[in-house]
Amino acid sequence: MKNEKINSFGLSSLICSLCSAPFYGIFSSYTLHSSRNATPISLIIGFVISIIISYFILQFFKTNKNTNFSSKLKNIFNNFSYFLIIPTLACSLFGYILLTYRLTTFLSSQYLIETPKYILLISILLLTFYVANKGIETITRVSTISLYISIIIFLFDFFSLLPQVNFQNFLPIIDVSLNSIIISSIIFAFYFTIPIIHINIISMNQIVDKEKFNKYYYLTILIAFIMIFLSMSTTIGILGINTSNLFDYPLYTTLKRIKLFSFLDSLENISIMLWILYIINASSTMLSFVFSSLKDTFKLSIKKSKIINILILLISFAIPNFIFFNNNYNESYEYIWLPFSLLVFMFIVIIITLIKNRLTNN
Amino acid sequence: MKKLIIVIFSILILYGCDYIEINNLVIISGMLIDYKDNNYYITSQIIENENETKIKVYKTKGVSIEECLTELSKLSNKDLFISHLKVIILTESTIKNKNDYQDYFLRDSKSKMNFYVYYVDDKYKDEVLNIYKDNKGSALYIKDLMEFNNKIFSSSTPLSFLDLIYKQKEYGIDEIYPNLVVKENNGEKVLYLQNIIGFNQNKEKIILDDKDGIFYNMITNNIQKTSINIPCDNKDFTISLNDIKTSYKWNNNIFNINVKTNGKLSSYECSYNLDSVNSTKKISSIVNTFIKRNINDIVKISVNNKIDFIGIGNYIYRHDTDYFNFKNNNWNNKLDKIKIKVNVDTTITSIGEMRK
Repeated sequence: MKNEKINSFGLSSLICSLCSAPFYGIFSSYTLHSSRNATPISLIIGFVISIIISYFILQFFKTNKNTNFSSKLKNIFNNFSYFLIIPTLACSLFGYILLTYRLTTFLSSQYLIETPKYILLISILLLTFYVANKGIETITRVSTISLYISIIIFLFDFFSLLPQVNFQNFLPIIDVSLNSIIISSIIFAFYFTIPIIHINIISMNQIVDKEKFNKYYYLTILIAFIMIFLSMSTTIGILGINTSNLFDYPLYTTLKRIKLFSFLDSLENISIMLWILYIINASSTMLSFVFSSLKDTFKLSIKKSKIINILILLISFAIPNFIFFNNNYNESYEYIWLPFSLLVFMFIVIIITLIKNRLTNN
Repeated sequence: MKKLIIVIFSILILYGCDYIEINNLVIISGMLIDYKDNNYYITSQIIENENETKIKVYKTKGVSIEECLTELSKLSNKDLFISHLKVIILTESTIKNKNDYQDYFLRDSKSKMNFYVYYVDDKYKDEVLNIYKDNKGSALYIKDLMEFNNKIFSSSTPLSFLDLIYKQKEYGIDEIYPNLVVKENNGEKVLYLQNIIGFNQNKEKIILDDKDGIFYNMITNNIQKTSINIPCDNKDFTISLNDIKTSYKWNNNIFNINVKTNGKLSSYECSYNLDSVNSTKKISSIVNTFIKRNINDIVKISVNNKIDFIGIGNYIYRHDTDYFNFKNNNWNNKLDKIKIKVNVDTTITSIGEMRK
C-alpha cells in the first residue's frame, strides 16, 4: 500500500458510511419487524452497546500505531495471525457481497425491473472494484463529499416528512417482549459498529491530524445513529408499525410520501442517493481492506495482487447466485444470523488482540 | 480519455433494459374496480400520448387485477404505466367481498400508493369515469373536487390508499369512504361528492350525510375551518369555525372527545343584542350545544351500527392496552359498552364588522 496521508475528518466520514450502510434498505425492515413499536427504545439501547464496542475498536486502531490490520495481528500473534486474518477477510468479503447484492436487488425491484440482476451486479462490482483500487485516500475524499450530500438529503427528507408524523403511532411504546428488544438491540449494535473495523486498512500514524481523530470518530458515529434513529422513528410515525411491516423497504415507502408544492413528487428517487452513496462507500472500503490486507499478509507482488483481486471480484459475482435466493423475505429475515455470527467473530478477534497486546506489554 | 470512455459507456447503459418511449405507454389515471361472480371488472381511464393527448376509458374483466390490466395492455397495444394513478373507485361488491384487490397495489413496485380511494354506488359506476373524457378526465377532476371540498366545505373526507391500509391493519378503527355520485343539472352531468359511506362487520352500509361529514371531520382533526348554520329563536346564524382541534382522553373508563375551536359570526338574525359580553357568551353556549349534539349523533351512528370510524378503540388500544384484548376479540361489539362524553369549547373571537 503506498504511503497515503489521510485527515481525521475524511476517515471519520467513512465511519458514517460503514455504520449506516447495513441499515438503509437492508436491516431496517428486520429491526422494525422484530422490535415493532419498541424500535426507538431498542435503537437507543443498541447505541449504548455500540459506544462500548466502538471504544474497543478505537483501542484496537490505536494499538501499534504504525501498523495496519494485518501487520498488527502479525506483530502480536506471529504465525497464528493467519488463522485470524484470513477468516476476518472472509467475513469482510461476505459483508461486501451482502451489501452489493442487496443494493442490486433493491435497484432491480424498484427501478430496473426488466434488466437482469447480473447486469446491475456487474456494474456495482466494477464501480466498487475501481474505487477500491484507487486506495483509501480516494475513498475518504468520496466519503467526505458523500457525508455532506447525505446530511443535506436527510435534513430535507426529515423536515418534509415531519408534519405527517402522527405521534399516536408510537403507542403503545412497548408491544413486544423484553427478549425481542434486547436481541434487536444487540443485533443493531453489531451491525452498526463492527464494520468500523475496516478503518484499520491504514495505520493510525497515516492520519495527519490524529489528535483530532477521537473527537471526529465519536461525532460521526453519533451523526450516523441520529440519522438512522430519526429515519426509523419517522417511518413508524407516518405508516404505523403494522403498515411498515408490510413492506420490504419501509423507509423507501415512507419517502414516497414526500410531496412539495402539491405537484413535485417522486422525490424519493433523489433521496435514495443517500443509501446508494453509503453502500458504495462502505463496500468499496471493505473491498479495499480485503485487497490491501491480502497483499500485506502474503507479501504479494503487484502482478499477483492484481490477479487475486480479479479472482475476488469473480467470486463476489458468483457467490450471490449460489447463496442468496431470489427472495427478499429470506434476505431480510433469514440471513440476519449468518452475517451476525461473522460480525461476532470479528469482534472476538479485536478483543483477543487487545488482551494479547496488553499481556505482552505487561 | 479512459475516464471519458467509461462515463459515456455508463450513460449509454444507465437505463438498463427498461427504456420505454412515452408514446408507447398507457398512463392509467383512474380505475373503477367492481367484483362479481369471482371476477374483477375494471374500468380504467387512460391517458394516451401519440400525436395529441387523449383520454380513453376501457373495461376489462379477469380473475385478478393483473389479468385485467394485461387485457388493458393488449387492448391499447401499449405498456402500462401505473405510477400516475390518481384515484381508485370501489363498488359495494368489491368492498364487501374482495378486500385483497389491495395486494396488487401494495406489491407492485411501480405503484406509488399515493392515490385516493372512493366509493361509488352501482347505479353510477358506468358513468363516473366517462364523464370528463373530452376534458382532462374524471380522475383528475375527482382529485380537484376533493381538494376543493376539503378547502371550502369539509363535508367529505379524503381517503388515501395508505390511510386505508393503515386503518385496516390497526386495531379499533374502521375505514369510511367518500362517496361519488353523478348529478344532472340543467341537462349536464357532473360528478359530485355526497355523503361518506362505511361498512360494518355485518357488511351493512352506513351513511353519513354532508352535515354529519362536517362533524366527523371535526372530531377526527381532518379540517381546520368550516361554516355551520345554527338555529336560534326561529331564525339562525352562521358561524365560521377555525383552528378546530379535537383531542381525546381515556380516563376512568370514560372516553372524552374534547373539541376546541374559535368562531367568527358570518351572519346573524337572532334577537340577542351582541354588544354585551353575556350575549357573546350565550351565543358561544348555543354553538357548543349545537356542535355537541351533532357530534353525539355521529357517536350514536358509530355505536348503534357497530362501526368505529372515529377510532375510539384505536386510541384506547394505544393508551390502555390491557383494557381490551384487541387481538382476539371484536372491538366493535364492545363499542356500546363505552361511556363517551363530548366537550365543546368555542371561543367567539369576532362578531364581524357590525357591533349589534
